[in-house]
Amino acid sequence: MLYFYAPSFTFPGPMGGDCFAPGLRVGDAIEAAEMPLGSSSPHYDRDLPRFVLACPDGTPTLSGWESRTKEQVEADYPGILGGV
Amino acid sequence: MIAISLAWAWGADTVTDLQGMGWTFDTGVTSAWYAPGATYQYVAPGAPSGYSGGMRWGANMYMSPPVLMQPANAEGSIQVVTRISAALTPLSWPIVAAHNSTYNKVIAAYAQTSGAVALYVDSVWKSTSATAYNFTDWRTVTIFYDMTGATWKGRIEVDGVESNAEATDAAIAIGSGSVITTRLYPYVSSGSALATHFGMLVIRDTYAESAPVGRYATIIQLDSDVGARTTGTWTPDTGSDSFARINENPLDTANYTEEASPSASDVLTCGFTANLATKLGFTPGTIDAVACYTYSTGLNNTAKAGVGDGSSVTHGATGTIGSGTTLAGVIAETKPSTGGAWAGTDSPEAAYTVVSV
Repeated sequence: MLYFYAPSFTFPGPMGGDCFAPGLRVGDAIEAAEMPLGSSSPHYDRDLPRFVLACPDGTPTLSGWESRTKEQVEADYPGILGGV
Repeated sequence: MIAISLAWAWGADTVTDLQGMGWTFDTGVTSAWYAPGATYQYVAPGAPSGYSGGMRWGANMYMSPPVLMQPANAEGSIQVVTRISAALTPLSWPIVAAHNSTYNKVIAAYAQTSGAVALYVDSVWKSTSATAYNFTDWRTVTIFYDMTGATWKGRIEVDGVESNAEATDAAIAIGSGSVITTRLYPYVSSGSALATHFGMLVIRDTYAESAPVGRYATIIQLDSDVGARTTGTWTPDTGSDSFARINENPLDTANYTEEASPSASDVLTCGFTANLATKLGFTPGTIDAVACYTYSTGLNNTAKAGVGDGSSVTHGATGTIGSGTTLAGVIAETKPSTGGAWAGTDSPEAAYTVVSV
């Protein structure tokens, strides 16, 4: 399992309110990302905002993503990984 | 509490018909982008032929089933049998969503270009499935949602197998009685007039209950009047048989039977001349429910739909009938007479009862 911090991409939700998904950094902009199969988010940090991602081994580090070890994630966000 | 709130099989109905039957559509809807089709009909093995709804892709396109038939509480599951006519092209697009208008957030299933399915809870992405699905074949997508607590939760199954494990998000609890809107979306961009197809829709009202696949909803046409359980003077617009004017597919509001001077407790009951197995053309192993949906006018009257077997009837909620076509409906998961399961040997009846005038 690989861990990343990914920027938050905001887009219009299906019924008016905004939706939030992991994005890519393209220049100064955040764009939508095609998320890899089997990926998940144990936590969404609304303050920064950014996603904590748990992705299958072999997942490339996309533009704007920051690779982290499990220990680093647990230090930043205690208790969110559980069994992930 | 019932489990199945809505079990829907599309007929040969136009968008105008469906609007009259309580469905809502994108405000820009015309029959040019929604139409029933038999070309891509969803037909379970051994089942009679049917129809599928079709929708062309476009920004903000959607359709929603009647609010009257959706769960009263902010939890449940939405199961849609769906396919697309071409490969997925949007990077990510909703298939089905449950929405609370007060909080303006969704629990939704999205399709990705890869064919993977993404889960959103509280409008926040939670996961992408480990499997990429071929949506040019029929897929049964079920989203389970629960907004009743301060922590919302959701999960997704595809073809009856969990694709996205339960995920949660801190939100606000949605109280009992709040309307949760179900919406279905076209999720492929294509030049085809009917790019996304919907073959069946089942809505359940509890998060925990399973949503089995391999079942299907179908329409069976009434073929007899049941005089023994009809009161009042019901007069068809032509001919002498009430059932013959209301058993049509698609719905045509120009055809009807009526009680011109209704009284409270007037009842029209219609049924079948053969049992369910005969009408279906095969013997079903399990029948989850029998539904009756009625469409009527009668300003200021109230009425209710019923499903019966003999003199016992399960009624739906009483509603006010408007000057325009108004839906009343009921789901009977068990036989009213015994409380036992329906079987192919049963011959249910459909009832329409005037409650007040």
